[in-house]
Amino acid sequence: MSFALVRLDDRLLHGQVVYGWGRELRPACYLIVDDAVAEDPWERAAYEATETGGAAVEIAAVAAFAGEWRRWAEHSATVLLLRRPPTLAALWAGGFRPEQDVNLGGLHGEAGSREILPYVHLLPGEAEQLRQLAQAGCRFFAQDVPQGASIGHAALLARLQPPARRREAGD
Amino acid sequence: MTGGEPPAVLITHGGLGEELRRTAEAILGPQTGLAVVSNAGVSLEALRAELAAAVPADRPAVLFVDLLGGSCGHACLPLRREREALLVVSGVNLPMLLEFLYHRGRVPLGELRERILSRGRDGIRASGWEGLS
Repeated sequence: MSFALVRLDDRLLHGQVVYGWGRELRPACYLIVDDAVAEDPWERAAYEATETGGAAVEIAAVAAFAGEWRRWAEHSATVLLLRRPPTLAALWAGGFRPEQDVNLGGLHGEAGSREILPYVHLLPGEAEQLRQLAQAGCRFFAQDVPQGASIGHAALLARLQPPARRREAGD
Repeated sequence: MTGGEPPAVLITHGGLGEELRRTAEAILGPQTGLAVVSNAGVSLEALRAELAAAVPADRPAVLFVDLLGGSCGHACLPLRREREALLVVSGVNLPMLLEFLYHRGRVPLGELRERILSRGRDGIRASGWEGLS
């Protein structure tokens, strides 16, 4: 059971996803799993109005998706979009186990965040959250757009180390 | 009534908005009330905050967005919800921007809205490749 793509992106469904990944993967559906969007009719309407080239846009709350993720994964033509690591951690705690590596694709800088890659900025606690998920068996890769370079699981984990340890390791 | 010259914000991917402003000013001369907000490297929340600061709260204004449904369009959502006097226009191009800048303050807002849309659409034509399959 797999998805076309499982992506962490704080913009959720936007240009890079639709015009970049969408044209590469040709998904039948973009599924946004996010409580803030699911609970706000205006937000829902805005994302549902996205011009996707024919793919459906579905929106689900985290708890609802955690109970039915296997059904979604059966289609294998769904791009799953999560806002930031805490959503993935919540889903993982609820039994979510994607077959493929999870894409870190667009986590933008905010006050207090640390740059891991130009398009991956982690808030306090998120690097540790990702490391714990990796220890539990979740695998990751970082890539913003299909034509961009892909950073594999091991290289990405090395970047998630606290800065002091990375200096010791000569990174 | 024209309601004075409504300000505008170009909210776009990358440097597109800045180049649109630069090009429009090269054609029409320096403009006031024309701000630019880029989505480059910022979260949706930061983008929304920057946009809110760029839009005057007390009078009609226009938000020109490049991609419908992208992060720039989503960033406009809270403002559009809170402020009835906002007009959000997607698919921004140079013809519609020039039309807006030239006619704002000279024609009523309803007419300005129609001018923006019609000039933006009319600016899209194709010549060549006829008959190709």
